[in-house]
Amino acid sequence: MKRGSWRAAYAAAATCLGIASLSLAQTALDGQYLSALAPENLSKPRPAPPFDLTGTWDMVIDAKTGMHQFLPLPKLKPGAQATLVKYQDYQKVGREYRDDPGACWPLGMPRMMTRFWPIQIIQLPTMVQLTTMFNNSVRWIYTDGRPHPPDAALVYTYNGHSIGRWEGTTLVVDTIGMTDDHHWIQEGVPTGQKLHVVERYRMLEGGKAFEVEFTMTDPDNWEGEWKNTKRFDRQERTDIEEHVCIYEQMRALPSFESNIRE
Amino acid sequence: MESAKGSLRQGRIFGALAILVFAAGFATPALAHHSAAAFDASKTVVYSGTVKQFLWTNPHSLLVLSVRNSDGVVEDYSFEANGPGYLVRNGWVRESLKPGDKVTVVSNPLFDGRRGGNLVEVTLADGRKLSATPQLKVEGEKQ
Repeated sequence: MKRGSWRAAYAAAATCLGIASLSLAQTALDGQYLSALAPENLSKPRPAPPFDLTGTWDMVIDAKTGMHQFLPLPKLKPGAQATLVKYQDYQKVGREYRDDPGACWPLGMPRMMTRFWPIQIIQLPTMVQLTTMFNNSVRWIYTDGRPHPPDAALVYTYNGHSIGRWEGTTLVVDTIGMTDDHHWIQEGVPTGQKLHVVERYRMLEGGKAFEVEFTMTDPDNWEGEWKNTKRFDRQERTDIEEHVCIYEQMRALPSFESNIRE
Repeated sequence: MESAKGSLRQGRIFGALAILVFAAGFATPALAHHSAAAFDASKTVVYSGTVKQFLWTNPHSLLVLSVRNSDGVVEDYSFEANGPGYLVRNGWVRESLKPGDKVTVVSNPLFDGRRGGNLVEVTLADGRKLSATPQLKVEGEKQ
């Protein structure tokens, strides 16, 4: 009997017998790794990290690196280029081609890192937890030495699966497993399931700011490496707040009807 | 700025109403959630009316304004704005706009001529002006 079937059988038995204490964690990697929050994991001896990202941060809007976009663009593959041209053609006539976040689809990686709203980061010895205020979207970047899950167990998600390692004074974060469903690098540029994002975090100015160099590859959508660096400033008097995109509310916005949904 | 009642319907301008359209008099809308392709940032239109609804929400705030047109018919206009995080920096509070308030709105119109637009500024009944344009820290260009 497959594992999932055993779970179903346990659940049915527990229901029949009135057992209330059975725990069935509904996660794809249940039992595979020591939890990032397990005391045994947190207390393992590790070298002191070179910096602590814990804080609230705002991305600096920099026209040189593309404001909220990643510029310059790499050489797009024909399919992606055709999508971008379609986006640009619609934009010329005041329409938005497939503005999925405008209909409450998640931004996903890496676009989630580039909005106006601040980002909250909590750094632990085993994990860096990053929450964007926008959509209250969360990344769990495991730094406890675990690998990415095997492909067979990978669940394709908007933010992907992230693991981090320290290289000198840089935190290198590796993200795979991002869905290609309604997921865009930025307006008009789609993502594929082969998308691979490497971020190199470096602390600046004694902890007042950090920069992230994004290196993105996706052989289905562009050639070679797409690189871009964004800078984030520490916010001493800002905390993130609830931010939930509600489709019914978005549909009431005047811009919604200009959004070409496909 | 002079305020006026205004209404755009199917691209027609009603003669009895003074619709003020300026060329790029205000900063372009900065809607970080999604692009502002739907709005013509090179134009602003002014409407006076009564607040029907004001949603103080992320990612966008929404103002529904009831405006009487030249035929005496009241029509609703929907104006999209940034979320509270940006509006508070410009002096807004949750109850800056309450149903029944008489206000004048400056907006970037929709390209397709539907009733509504991107909210640029509101003038309250007491004459106070509230900007809906974000105050941004921008490196690498003047803002």
